[in-house]
Amino acid sequence: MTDILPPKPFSRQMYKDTDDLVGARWWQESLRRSAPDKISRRNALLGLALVLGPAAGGGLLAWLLSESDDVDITMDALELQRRQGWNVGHAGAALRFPNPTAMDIDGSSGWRDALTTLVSDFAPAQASLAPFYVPTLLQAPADPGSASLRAALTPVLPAPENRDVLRGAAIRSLFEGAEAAQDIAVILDIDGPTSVGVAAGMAPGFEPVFVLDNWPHPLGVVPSHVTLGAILYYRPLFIRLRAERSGHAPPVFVLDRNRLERYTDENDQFDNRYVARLPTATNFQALGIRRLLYVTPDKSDLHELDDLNADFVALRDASIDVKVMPLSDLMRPEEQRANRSAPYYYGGHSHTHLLFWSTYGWHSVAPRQPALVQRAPTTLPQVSRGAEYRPAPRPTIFSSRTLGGGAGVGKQKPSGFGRVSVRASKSTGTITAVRTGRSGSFGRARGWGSS
Amino acid sequence: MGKTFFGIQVVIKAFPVDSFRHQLHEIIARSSGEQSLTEKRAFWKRLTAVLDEQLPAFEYGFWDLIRGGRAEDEFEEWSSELEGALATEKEELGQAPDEINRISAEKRYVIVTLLFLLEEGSNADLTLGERCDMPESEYFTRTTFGRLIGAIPTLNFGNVEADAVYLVPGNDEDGLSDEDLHGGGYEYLKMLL
Repeated sequence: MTDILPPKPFSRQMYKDTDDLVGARWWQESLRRSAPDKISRRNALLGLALVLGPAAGGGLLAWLLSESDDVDITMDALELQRRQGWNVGHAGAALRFPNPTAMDIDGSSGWRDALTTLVSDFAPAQASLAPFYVPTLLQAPADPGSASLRAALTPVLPAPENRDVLRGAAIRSLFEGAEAAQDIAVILDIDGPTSVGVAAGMAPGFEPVFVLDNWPHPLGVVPSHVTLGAILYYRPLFIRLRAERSGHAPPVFVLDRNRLERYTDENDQFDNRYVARLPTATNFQALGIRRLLYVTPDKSDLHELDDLNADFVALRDASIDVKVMPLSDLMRPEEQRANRSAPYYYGGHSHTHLLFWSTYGWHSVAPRQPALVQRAPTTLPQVSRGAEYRPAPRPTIFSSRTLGGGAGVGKQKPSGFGRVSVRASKSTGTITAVRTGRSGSFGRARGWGSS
Repeated sequence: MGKTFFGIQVVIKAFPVDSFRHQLHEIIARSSGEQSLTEKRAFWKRLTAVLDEQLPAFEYGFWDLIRGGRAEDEFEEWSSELEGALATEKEELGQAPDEINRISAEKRYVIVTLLFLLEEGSNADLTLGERCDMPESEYFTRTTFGRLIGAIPTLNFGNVEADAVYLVPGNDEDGLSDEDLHGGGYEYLKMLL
């Protein structure tokens, strides 16, 4: 194509020099093909748009100038799964569960009959919390096209020595019996199965609000099927405790930290990542929340994940006090390490447990004292500096991705995040193949799976 | 043969003493209506050299590499939006500039956009593909933008079907404010680390 070039092959097609723009655009005519019939193709576009809907986004324009019947577009991963099935593109691939078990926490196999009722089973009992419940993951097994998912799902055994539930119980005990708990919410941002286990330990005194916004996939970047397995295991406990809770239990938001799992456009991955949708500062204020405890895995994680940075800064600006506590700050007493049912405490001892309040400067246990008395922090060498955390803005791939200046519901994903490439037929709109690597904006990967 | 689109847009913080805007303006204004491959390379070499010097002042940006059926549309969308949509902002650009120093703290950004449409699978495409192949965490850093812009003069322009450059605003005095950037239309820009 470039064997014989004219001496000056580039011809300027546009030049503009005004107050608002200086610009120039050139074409190399020798490389240009005849212009396609855009009008007829735009009409055809409408047909495909009706089939694929808005999920295909700008990607629909992909095939305007293409000659073959196939067109490569990118789609929101979840939308694609809802349309084409949870395991789209990889129907034969199996889900892998670590530590699977046939029985739930009650030793029952009743979970098999509950796969289509998980959304209602785990809905918050308090109507005020219902808008913030994100049960997308729980919807996956109930989908009519998810028979193979229902067949593949199984409960997974909890962490050794029941440590997740016991650490959840330790968090609950920090707030037990204190009126202070009325203005507190907890956010668990740990890996999904652990989050579920800790929430189970907190559930006697806290209202779990699950925020799990994706579907599992055999090649999923986020192993959310394992989180579903943990949910199936603890399900009877959650249902029982929800019935037993009385009054106004503070909320615990249950997140899966793996939602932002590292992904580098691998050919063997399906990008089912998502961003957490938490209540906005205004929502929290309306719920009466003035203090937020953000729970992370360990001392190396003393700030929020990237998708929550803007939200937390907004909370700070609304005078909602956000502090961090890693799970690793909850320990068993030295002398009870061998006792598998021994409780966990903040700082590792019942004596240090109540120092949580002075360390975090949140509350005095003495009656009739203001709830927000600031005291000199207590220094415990064995715990983290999470009490000193203050949200601060930082550039992330999610910066400037909210619409209307708000956070939470409506948050936008960055370009390419949580999207997958599909190949669709122009004539029928049918999706004929799915690429596991993202392609889309940065289409470097190859390898397609039949849909 | 398929196409590949490569576009890169960078928001540069401009100070009153800076001459780079004038230099860019001059390079674009003096560009020839007909260009040989050698002239094309020289044009981009001059222009990217000016940008390279401003790398520490890159504040926001966006880039995209798209192969296949979307490429030509993407080129047309970028170029037509830039060429067509900016006229309405003219009044705003002229609003209440500082008499002494028009590029004040309020209006201090300029946007430079470079667009290319290449033959897919060509040497130029492979060159850009290699430069664009990086972990996601590096997509939006100043270093990455420097590397991508630095790749442009190395392209085999025999494989470049179309290219374009835009500088906004067009005069050497006005600039865009933070409000302009965070307001309608520029939400896709990423802060560069």
